[in-house]
Amino acid sequence: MIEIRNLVKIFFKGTPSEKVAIDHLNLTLQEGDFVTVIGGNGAGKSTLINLIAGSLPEDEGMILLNNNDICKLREHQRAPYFGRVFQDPKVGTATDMTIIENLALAYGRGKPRSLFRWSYRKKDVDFFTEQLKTLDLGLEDRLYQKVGLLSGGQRQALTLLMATIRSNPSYRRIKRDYVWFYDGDKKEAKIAINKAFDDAFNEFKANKKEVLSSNLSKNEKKNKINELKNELDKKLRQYDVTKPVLLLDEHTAALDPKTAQKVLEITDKIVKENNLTTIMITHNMKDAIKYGNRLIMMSKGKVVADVAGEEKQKLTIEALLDMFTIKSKNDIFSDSAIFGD
Amino acid sequence: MIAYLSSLPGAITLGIIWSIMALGVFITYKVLDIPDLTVDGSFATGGAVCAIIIFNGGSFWLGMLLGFLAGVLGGLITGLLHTFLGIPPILAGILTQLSLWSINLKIMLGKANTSISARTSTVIFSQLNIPDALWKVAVIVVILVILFYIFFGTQLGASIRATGNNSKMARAQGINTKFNIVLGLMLSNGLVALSGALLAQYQGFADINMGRGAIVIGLCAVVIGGAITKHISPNFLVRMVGVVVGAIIYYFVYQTVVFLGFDTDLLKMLAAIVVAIFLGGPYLYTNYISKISRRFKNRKLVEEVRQNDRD
Repeated sequence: MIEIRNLVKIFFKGTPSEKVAIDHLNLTLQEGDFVTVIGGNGAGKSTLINLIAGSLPEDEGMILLNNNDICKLREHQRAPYFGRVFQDPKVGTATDMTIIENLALAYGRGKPRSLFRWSYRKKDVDFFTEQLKTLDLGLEDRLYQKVGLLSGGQRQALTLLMATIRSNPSYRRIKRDYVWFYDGDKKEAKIAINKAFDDAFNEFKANKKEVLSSNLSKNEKKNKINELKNELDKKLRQYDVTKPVLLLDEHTAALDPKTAQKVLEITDKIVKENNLTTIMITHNMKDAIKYGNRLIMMSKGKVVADVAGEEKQKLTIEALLDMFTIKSKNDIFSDSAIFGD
Repeated sequence: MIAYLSSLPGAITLGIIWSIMALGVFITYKVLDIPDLTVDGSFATGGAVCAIIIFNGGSFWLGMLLGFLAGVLGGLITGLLHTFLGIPPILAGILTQLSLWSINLKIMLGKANTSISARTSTVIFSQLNIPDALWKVAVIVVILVILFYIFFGTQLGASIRATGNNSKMARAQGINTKFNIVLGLMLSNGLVALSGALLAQYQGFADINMGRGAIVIGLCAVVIGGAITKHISPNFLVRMVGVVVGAIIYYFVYQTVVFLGFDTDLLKMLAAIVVAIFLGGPYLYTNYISKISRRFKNRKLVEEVRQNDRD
């Protein structure tokens, strides 16, 4: 859950060209919300996403992720909790590195970059190949090619995949995040999570002993223990409270209509499969209506309209345009000029 | 002619010694995409530290190690000036370089040079025995290239490459770009200082001015190496070997030019011109020369069309 309270961002503060980009904005996203954001140029959509991701420092207000203020975290520290796709296909990937190296970089998000591990290992290759196959763009055969050779659409799809794949966090991190994001007494949470982990480990050890002392063959024992290990892992991963929140900043704007459609379909598929909380900025009203379960309209750094659920499904482009002209009286001209499809 | 040929092994040895410095420049200029001017200072720092330790009876291994660490420290300062205080990297490098000049003077106890002749002190190699120096420095450079190839294949190394390639993407993927920039600058300047330490032993003295223009020689090697390997392979190992070859070629050319009687006072200018040509050449080609040649082609085409129309 993301909660934004009284967020303010002012560019060029204290100079004649001062511009209020985000003006006391309040917004709450529930877990699993897929929000599309529309608004004219300069409405503050991209600024909002940059503030959430930490690319820009906020002037006032708070951004809460699962009830925790993330404003104190720097951009790279927030990265494990967010997946980003940018408007410019060049920005989302390292062009001089191969596809697999890019994926490996994304896969290690939120983990320390070790000096004693290769950037990717053999078993990762199979996993990445599998993931690339889901994109259905033939990228799985081009693992060792530089990303610079890909087209814009392919790059955006790859960035999308990079934004969503995240390796399983270490148990230490699961514990830490559990306590950090716990809504209530943190000390209690710490004791509780430690106890849960200890119990699970003890149970595993007891079961392991049992298996080892039983009179099974060596191979059977091995299989049994592996099973137990997987069970333990599953149990502990239940406490993993963080899933990346997708932040999509007009990620199809630089693509031709056909490719844009394809990338949007992939987006929708990934979001639905993983039940991700998503914020998607778009300039295309049709897409804003078609995708997601909630639609937000921004104007002059504020949320001026917020439509969700059934009401959103009934929306038409005409209704949206009408709403737009009413809600943003002062810049009707510029906005409707942009949106007139 | 025999004099020229007999001078070549020395030139190659010098080239390999400088190639270690060029590898440092490669890390900042090509991998991190930051032009770092600290090297002019840290090169002499490495030489000064190593020389003063050998001069006072210390082992050359200790001298080289401390020289390397002194360079790492120089890189750390440039890195902090850039990331922590937000000073543009070129300026940060110049500031460190300038202060290193004073520090180098203090390291050498206020003298402008320190003699560590192979006749009086133990050094790893010297120009008195060139074949010995050649194989030793060759082994060192091979080890360094392999070490750095391994390093840039690790998670940490890959994250440094990503930082230089696309820092915005790197941050979005949870990479601490500031830390990586500082780390890269430290490693780079450590290599540069190590190269300075080797040169001081080879030539038998460390000099306060030995690093002057080092960045240009480093860039020379990097751009020559880049021009060679561009058409071979984008592989990282190949590119690093290219840098080493570039440095050797530089000293090869240098030796030839000196032998042909070129005024040695003008050599630094020559080096700068070579770098300017290599760096500016591709730009010149795409923006002017290719346009002119295309215009000629177009003119021919237009004439052909006109000819056809007349027919």
